[in-house]
Amino acid sequence: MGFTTKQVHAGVTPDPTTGAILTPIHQSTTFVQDSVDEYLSKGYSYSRSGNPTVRALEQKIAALENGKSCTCYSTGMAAEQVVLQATLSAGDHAIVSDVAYGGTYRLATKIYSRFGVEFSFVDTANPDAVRSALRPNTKLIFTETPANPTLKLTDIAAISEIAKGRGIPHAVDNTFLTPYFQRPLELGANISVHSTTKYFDGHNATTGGAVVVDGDELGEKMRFHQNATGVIMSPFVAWLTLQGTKTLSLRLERQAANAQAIAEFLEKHPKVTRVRYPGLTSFPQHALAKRQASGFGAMLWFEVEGGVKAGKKLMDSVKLCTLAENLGSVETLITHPVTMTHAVVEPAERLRVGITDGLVRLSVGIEDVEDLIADLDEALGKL
Amino acid sequence: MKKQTRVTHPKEVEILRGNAPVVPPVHRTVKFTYPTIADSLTAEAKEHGFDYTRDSNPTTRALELTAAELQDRDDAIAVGSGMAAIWLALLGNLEAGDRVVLFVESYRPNRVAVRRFLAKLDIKFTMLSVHDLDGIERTFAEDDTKLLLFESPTNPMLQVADLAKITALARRHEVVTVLDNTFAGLHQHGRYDVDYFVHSLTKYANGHGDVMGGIVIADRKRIRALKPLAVNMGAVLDPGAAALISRGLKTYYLRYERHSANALAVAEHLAQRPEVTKVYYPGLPGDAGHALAREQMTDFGGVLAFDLDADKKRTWAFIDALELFTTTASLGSTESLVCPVQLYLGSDLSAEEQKQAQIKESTVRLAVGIEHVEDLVADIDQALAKSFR
Repeated sequence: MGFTTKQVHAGVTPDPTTGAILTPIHQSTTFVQDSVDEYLSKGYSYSRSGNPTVRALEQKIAALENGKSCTCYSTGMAAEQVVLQATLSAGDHAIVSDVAYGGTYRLATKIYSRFGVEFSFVDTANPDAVRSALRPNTKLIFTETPANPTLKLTDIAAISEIAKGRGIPHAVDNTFLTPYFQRPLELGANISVHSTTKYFDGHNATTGGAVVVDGDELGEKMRFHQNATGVIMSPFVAWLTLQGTKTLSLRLERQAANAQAIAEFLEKHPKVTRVRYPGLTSFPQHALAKRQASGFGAMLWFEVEGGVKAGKKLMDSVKLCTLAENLGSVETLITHPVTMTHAVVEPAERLRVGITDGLVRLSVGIEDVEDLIADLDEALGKL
Repeated sequence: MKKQTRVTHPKEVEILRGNAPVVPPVHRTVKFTYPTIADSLTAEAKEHGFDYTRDSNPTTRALELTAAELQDRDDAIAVGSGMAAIWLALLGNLEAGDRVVLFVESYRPNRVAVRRFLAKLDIKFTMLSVHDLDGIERTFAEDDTKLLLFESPTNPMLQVADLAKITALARRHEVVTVLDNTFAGLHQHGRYDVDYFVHSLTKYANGHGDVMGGIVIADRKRIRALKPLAVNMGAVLDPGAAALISRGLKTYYLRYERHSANALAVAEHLAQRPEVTKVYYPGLPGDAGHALAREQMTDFGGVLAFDLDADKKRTWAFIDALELFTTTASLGSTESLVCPVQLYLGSDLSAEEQKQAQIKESTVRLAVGIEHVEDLVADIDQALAKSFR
């Protein structure tokens, strides 16, 4: 079945009692059991442990990632937290991409480090660096590709080989590309993590997260921690995300086409000193981008002449591009990572991995690309 | 304040000026207020103020203005369903003794509204074929003809109305035109001299099959004249539904393009199948309405009909054998749907009228969704193989 068919139909079956074509919002805390002996015979008991609407979304996302199973959470961070909880214990060590969402860095350095877990932030674009960072107690490799916000890529297959050699899971944050463009499990990774807040919802209307795994044992672990910690997705959010996911490929195709056009426009603009978008031939890892994904996504960044001051002025002068965190929605959003998404990362660490003070991040939406270019052109003209 | 009072007067959270949500909040309130009575009586309050959600609501208003712009008009009234919109346009323009023109090729509930219910209000009708331009002109010339209710392409048989000619005739004879433009969508036909556009927002506008809604779109003068009736009828669109439709509308163009591309590919495939005797889709070169449709439209939509070389039993067997297409009415949502035309959309017509409308027991209507087109074609092929075995 084609991806676009799966994104509409997978996980969804007409309601048996009414024939409703859409999954009902099962806004019920508890589920009646026919008898003590038949406890859980219909699969549900309490909505924290499992809810039919949430389960429909989990099945859809698992099908889109070609994974074994999926669990959904209240946010992308909740999803990530469960991955760490399910794989790490005191005394363990984990390798994390040195460029990653600020929240990932914070979760590792401020929370898990308090519980005796050690982290190495490694340039996962370089498999040798990953290999040499391995310790006897390494229990998880967690990568993000393309990385937020520099878009540095990690070779998923190469890092998965290393993880496999040690019998430890390789988790990939696949939020930026989604399974429409990149399927980490098919490339050998074991876990694919998402903030569904981004492209899956796509309409800036919910927060949510998902973890897709390639095996039953990992799946049971995730399900156990989802229930035990209670960081669950609500049935209403699951329903909105189910509906949003139905247009995932349509939105991403348009967003990526827009991003390519904008990146090419920025590359030619005299006020722009640097543009990074995996779809540009000037992108340092363009070949890898083509090899492991079927599209380049809709995230790009650039720097303008005049540094931080000019960058801030640009972000304040755009009109159609909205100054806000978040990404992946139909509206184009413009972000200053240093003051917004990556403020929690130490300044020295930011600079070391290439998050410069003048970096402007753009999450390209589905608007008419001529309108977006005109907006950026006008703002650039004011510099 | 006692806590018992506090629960009905919750703490207000002030949002700093400029600190706006990217997606506007759903204004889930019945009433709006002002600091003083005098404030509620200012010219500005009367022009732009909100009072009671049956009259207007900011969430619904945003949808009305956006939909109006897409349809190249400047105002609109959103209501609870497409049929409520039809009724608003009809009741707002008719009185006892008037005559309505409608077409035999039209949506069944539209025909039922005119033929069964308006008749009870002493409003007459003339039902013609959408292609009968002479008959249209003759009927328009009669003194009591007041309003034309029409569609293009028509539901379910996809007949294309000549919008330029029909609206010119209507203008000449001072006949009010109400175009149910649901099939063509909000982005098409705006350049024609139509008085009122009506849409079922349930279909392409929302596009996800999860909410009902309707809208009447026209120039501001006409909408203002219609507004008191709308407020009195009370068939308002719920703000929660309006918010979902606004959300759906964001991917409107992406979806409509994909619906159209998929429908054309399915129509082309059906046209080559020996089990299919005729395909009705204006996007298909060779379709009787193709030339006119190309003049009037840029995309041809996701609905098509076709006749099988089969009796009723085999036709139903074909429909039952489809797996990806769900058997139900409605259209314009992400999922593909199928229905037997005579049973679902033609039962109010006499045998003679059905013939005129080209509706047969072997006619099938498809509302093509946005799935992968190869999967849809494969589903049709397996259902044909199964039912024609």
